[in-house]
Amino acid sequence: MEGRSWQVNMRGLAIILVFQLAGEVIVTLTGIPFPGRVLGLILLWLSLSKGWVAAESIEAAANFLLQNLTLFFTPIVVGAVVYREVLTAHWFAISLGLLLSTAAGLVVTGKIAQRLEKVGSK
Amino acid sequence: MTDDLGALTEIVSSKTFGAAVTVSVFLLAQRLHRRYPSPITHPLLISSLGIILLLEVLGIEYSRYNHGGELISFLLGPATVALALPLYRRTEEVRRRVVVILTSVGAGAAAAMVVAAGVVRLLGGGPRLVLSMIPKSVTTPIAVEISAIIGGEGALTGVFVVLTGILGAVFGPELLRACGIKDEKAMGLALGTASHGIGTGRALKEGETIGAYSGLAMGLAGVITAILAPLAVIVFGWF
Repeated sequence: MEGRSWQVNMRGLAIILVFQLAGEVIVTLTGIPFPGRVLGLILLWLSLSKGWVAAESIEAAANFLLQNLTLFFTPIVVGAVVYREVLTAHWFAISLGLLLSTAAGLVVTGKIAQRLEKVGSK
Repeated sequence: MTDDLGALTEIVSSKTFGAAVTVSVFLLAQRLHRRYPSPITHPLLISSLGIILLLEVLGIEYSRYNHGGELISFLLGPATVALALPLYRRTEEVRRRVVVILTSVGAGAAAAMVVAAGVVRLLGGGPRLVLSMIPKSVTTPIAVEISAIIGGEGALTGVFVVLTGILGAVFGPELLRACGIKDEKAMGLALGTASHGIGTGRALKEGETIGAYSGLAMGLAGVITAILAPLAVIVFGWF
């Protein structure tokens, strides 16, 4: 059982990496300004929906990756030290921008969704 | 003495050092967050500050630390692709409400982008700062890659992403209710669109429906922003 679950894990990781590679290769070859990984995500979503890839085969690997997303991101945030001068010089613009844009995103999405939801249910 | 220093430099520049420090400090931050659960003690915020402090005290440059740090952040790539699984699980939900979901998430993502870039630009931020602000509402791995494509700085975007998530998690549901948005699906879509995974964490505490829709919106907003951000940059001439 132990061996089997490990095998499933490896297979899932292989599938996910191959989709990432496919996305990156397509972006490199076509030169479209789109994140290769996100294209990989879309291709994998499509393949799951079409039944070309079984959800079970990537489940263990996907769960491991998604549950530890925050850890993978830490070294990038640490990289902000390199930009501390920009951050301190523009702290007010940044704070206000973050606050207002988060509020805008919340209210615009919520209002439109609520209105359309009501129209749809009538 | 010089040899000792040389050996020390070699150690802190090794891949092992950066990787070991990252995982260990993160583990401690996670424990702290479990003991004092709050968006302000988010493990990403605490662990990043902890590592920055450690590097500062030991006098280690970021580029040295990042030899090992890169090993950890590489996994963001496959993690982004893995987001396909939760999205796939909700494909039916998307199909049934495709108009509501795509319109609201698309408009919200666009509003967040324009306001973020507009405010910073009006208050005198340079192009690199403005471009780094644009993708900051979406889930971390996608935001960092969009930032690199449009000419921002991934590390800056990373910090903005985390702060945005914390803001959304701290006052999101309260703001929505104050604005008369009480429909659970609408609340979930709003939280996921405006404050990605950290907001989704709060959404899950508000209720199962809110959490599920927030998770869905988080993935979709990432994809939509990846499409819209380069367009916004061209349209507004932010290059």
